[in-house]
Parts: sequence; structure tokens; C-alpha cells
Amino acid sequence: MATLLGPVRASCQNETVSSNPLLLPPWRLVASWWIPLAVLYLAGGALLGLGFIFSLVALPLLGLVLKILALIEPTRASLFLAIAGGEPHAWRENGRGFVSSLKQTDWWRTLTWREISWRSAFNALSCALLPIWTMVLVVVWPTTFVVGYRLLVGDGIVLTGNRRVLTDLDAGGVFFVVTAVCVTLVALLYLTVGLAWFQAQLALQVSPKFDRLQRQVRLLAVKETNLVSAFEAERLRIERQLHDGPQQNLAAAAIHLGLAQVLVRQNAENAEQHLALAQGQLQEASEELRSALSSLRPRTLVEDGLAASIAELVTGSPLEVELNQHYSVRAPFSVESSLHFVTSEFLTNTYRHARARTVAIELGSDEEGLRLLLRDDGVGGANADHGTGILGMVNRLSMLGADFCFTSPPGGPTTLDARINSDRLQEAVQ
Amino acid sequence: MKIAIAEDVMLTRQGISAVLAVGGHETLWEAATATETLANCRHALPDLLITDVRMPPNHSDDGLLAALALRETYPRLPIVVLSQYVGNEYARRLLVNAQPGTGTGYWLKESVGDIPRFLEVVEAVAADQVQIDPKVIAHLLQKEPVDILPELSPRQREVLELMAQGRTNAQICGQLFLSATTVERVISSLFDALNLGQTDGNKRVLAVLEFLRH
Repeated sequence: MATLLGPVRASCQNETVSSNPLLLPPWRLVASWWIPLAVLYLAGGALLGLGFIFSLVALPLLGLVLKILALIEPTRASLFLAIAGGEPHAWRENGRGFVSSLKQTDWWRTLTWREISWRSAFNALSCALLPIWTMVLVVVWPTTFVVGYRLLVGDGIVLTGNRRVLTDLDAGGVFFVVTAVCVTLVALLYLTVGLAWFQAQLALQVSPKFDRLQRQVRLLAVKETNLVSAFEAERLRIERQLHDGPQQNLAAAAIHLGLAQVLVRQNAENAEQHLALAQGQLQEASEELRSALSSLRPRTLVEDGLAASIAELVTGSPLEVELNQHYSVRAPFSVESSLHFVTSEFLTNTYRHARARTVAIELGSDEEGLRLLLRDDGVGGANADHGTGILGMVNRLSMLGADFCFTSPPGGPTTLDARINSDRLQEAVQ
Repeated sequence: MKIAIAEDVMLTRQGISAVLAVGGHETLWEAATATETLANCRHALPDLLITDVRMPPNHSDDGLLAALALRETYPRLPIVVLSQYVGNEYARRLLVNAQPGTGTGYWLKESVGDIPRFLEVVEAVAADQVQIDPKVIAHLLQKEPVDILPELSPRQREVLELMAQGRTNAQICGQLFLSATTVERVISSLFDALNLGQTDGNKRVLAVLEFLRH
């Protein structure tokens, strides 16, 4: 159970975030935007850091400079993570917010000493990261290479005599050079991206509390709007379903009943035929209504709970689903129903858009709470702008107060990891 | 009368066709999509067209759009539009685009089941009258009257409101303590104010729709 219910990464809580580049295999990393953007980001950070150090000379301006940096850095970090990680939400939220946040900022708000020290430390660090990286590139990398060559192949080449390395290469030497270059290059790439990732995460963590709260308020406002549009979309769907289904059947039934009435009065023979047609239409109407209702409140979910309803979803899905349930409790209906619809939506999205073959579903419960983990093997790149499906899932989970992490980098896989801790479950009961 | 039916649900289509047969009318052709409706009209123009609003290809107001397009080509073609929508927007679009004195009907699909009444509607529309489902009018009356048509005098407004409630001239006289000639004069000025000119029997309906169009 412990493996299933491991803690959700702190950076993921309650937001959709970009994936961690350090977990990407080298061929994907090379093909992504992570590397060029990481270099840009690091270089920009060093410039800003230098600016900060120079501003120390003009001490009276320190507050202003710190304020500007405090605004720029989280935005830069979010943009970097958003563009490189292919994550839509942060991009939209922060990309649009920067200019207006510059305008809205209360410039005369007093800086706390804690803020000043955090910001100073951060800028000093970001200023230092680029030289560290440059040193690795210019000094450590060639040195390792030359020393390694000496140890393995060489017979007493001195460092200054580098030329002989190139002239005396035999087959083994060529192999060594190629391997060493490849391995160290890959390591260097990871180091570059890792440093940028680290700096960006740090920037987002240390941004002053006030600004962070302001961002959270904006994020909540966006979520509220999304929630409303998701509700509207759902109402539209129900309206269509009822209009195209039962309402058509009922209208047809009314026509055939009317006909039967007229024909009975005329003692015509085919009245019975129209009665039968009307009956058929009424039956169909009630079936359509049942299906519309069950899409609102699935019977299995109501009667047998989440484990059973998810099992039913799995059976009904055209995808190959690997289901792993360690779920034996009954959570409050609002929680179970949300998790049911999130699962259903995930399966639908995967089937429609992800070109996936299999989906893995893990549902577990223990004394800490519930956890639902959904993962497909599809092409990823799921984007909240392309439909209300993802928004719907995110909104339902947000409303529950779940900690969740939705990732869908281009190339896949798409993963949703949600957990609801027991405190939240208690609140849901009330 | 040779009538054409445009409706995408087969059972409803057949039902309407049977209803028309009861009234002694012939079904000239049936169409299941709006595109088909337009094409069929080019080959064989019916004496009257009955069309559903929501139809393929787009499952939106395709049937109504087809009816409006046919109004351009065949201004005198009487059209009955069937709908499940109780709002008056479709009826208004249909009437606004009609030449004065062209038969126009807006009937709820569920009301087709009252067969004698529906056959009356079909015949009235074929005789160039306007027929609007009473449920549509009733629904409109439930809405709060909003401040529209500011150019009307309070007296005209009062009379129009009573007309919208389906009162006859005599009832209006009684309620407002006016003479019959005064009421007739007010109604006539009302029609002029609403630019309804010298059209015949449909003026009342048009005035009501105009009044309630918001």
C-alpha cells in the first residue's frame, strides 16, 4: 500500500504542472525545447543577478530593483517551465498576467527584511549558476576527457601536448573518444536543464508571499470562470440529449396516438398499427430518459460504490485497461461521484485523442485518504484549450480540494495522480 | 393539396404523412435533410411545405434556414415550421421574411397529435393565413414586459398588451372604457406605427409578435 499511496510531489499540489525534464530519456530531451530554453533562462538569470549586484552600489534603489526582480523572476520561471514543458495553464495564466501585474503592483508596499534577504540570496545564486555551468563546460569537461584518455590509452602525454592525442589515435582510441564525447555531452545536457529547472522551481518557491497570494487569487478567479463554463457545457449536453432523444420520441408518439384516435372514430382498420408505433416510441423515450439519467447519476455508483462503478467503466471501455484496486471503503458520494466522472472523462479523452492502447487505473484507500492514479500510453499533449474535458476534470478535483497532478507532455504519457486526504473526506461528509 | 414533408425522424415523417392523408391531402415528397428539401423543391414545388427546424446536416436550425431560403426563391410558398422550441425567435424570423399575405405557420411538434386542429392549421396556412401555436404565445406572455417600442403612446401600448393576451376588440372596449370606434382607431394607428401597413388578418399576430419580440 505504501508504494501506491506515496506522497504527491509538493510542486504538483492543486495545479497542473509541466513534467520534470530530468525524467525524460536523452532522445526526448534533445528533441525538446528544454535545452535551448534552459540556456536562455540561465543566461537571463545571470544577467539579472549581475544587475542586482551592481544595484548594490546604489543602495537607495535596492527596494525598487528587488521589486522588479520579484516580479520578473516568477514570470520568467513559469514561462520557461510552461513553454519547455508544454503546459498550457501556467503559460496562459502568467504569460498574460505580467504586464497587468506590473501595472497593478503596489510599488510603495514596504519590503520585509525576509523578502529582501530571500531575494538577495536567490539573485546571488542565479548569478552564480551560469559561471558554475560555464566552468563545467570549459574546464571540467575537457579535463576529464584528457585525464581519462591518459589513464586508459595514453603513455605519458602532457596536457600541453594535446596535439599528439589526435595524431596517435588507434581504433581503441577512436572508440574511447566517441564514447566519452557522447556520454559527457548527455551528462552536460542534463546538467544544463537540471540547473535551469532547479533555478526555476526555486524562483517559484521563494517569490514573496504577497505576490504568491495575488497569483493564487488570480488562479482561483480563472478556475471559477472555468467552472461556470464547464457547468454550461454540461447543461448544453443534457439539453441536446433530451431534445434529440425523448422529446422526439414523445412528439412522434403524440402524432401516432392522435392518428389512432381519429382512425378508431372512423372505424378504420389500421388504428392498431399506430397504437403499436406510439407504444414503441414511448418505450424508446423511457429508455432514452434512463440513459440520460444514468449519465447524470450512474446506478452502480449510487448502489455499489466507486470500486464497482469504475470496474463497470473499465468493462465498457474499448481500451485495454489494467485495473488495480485496493479500495474497500465507501467515501462520501460527492467524492466518489467526482472520482467516477474524472475516470470516465479520462478514459473518453484517451480513447478519442491520445491514440493509446492501454490505460492503467489504480484506486486505493488507507488511513491517510484516497488515491486515484490514471495513466495511458498515448501521445500526450492534452491541452485544456482543446475542449472542456480536462477543465472538467481539473474543476471537479479542485472543488473536492484534492491534491492532484495532471501531466501530458507532448509525446506522452498522460497521467493524472489525485489524492484526497482523510481530513477532506471528513469535511465532505459534513 | 400536394404537401411536402421535411423531417429527419422517419417515424414522425410517416406519422405526419398519415395525418395529412386523414385530411385528404397527398404527400408530394419527403425529405430527411435540409439540403434534400432545397433540391426537391427545385424539382417539384409543393402547394405547402411542412419542415422541422432542427435537421441534418448541422442539426441546428437548418430546417428554418432552408425555409427562409425558399422564401427568397418562392415568395408565395406557404410554409408550416414544426419545432420543439417554445420561444418565438424562429416564428419571428419566419414572419419578418414573409411577404405580406403569405401563409406561415409555426407549430409545436407535440401539438401535431391534435389532428383536427393540425389539419385546420395546414389548411389555414395554405389559405395564406398566419398560425402560431397557442403555447408559443402563452409562453411569451409569461415573460416580463420590457421597455420596448418607446415610440408607442401609453394608450397604444395598453391596447397592444390586451391584444397580445388574445382579447377581442369588444373586450378591449369593455376593459378600457372606450368606444368601439376609438379602439379601432388606436389599433389602426398601432399597425401604422409598427409598419404593418394594409396587410389583412395576420396583422394582429404580427403586432403581437413585434410587441413580444424581446
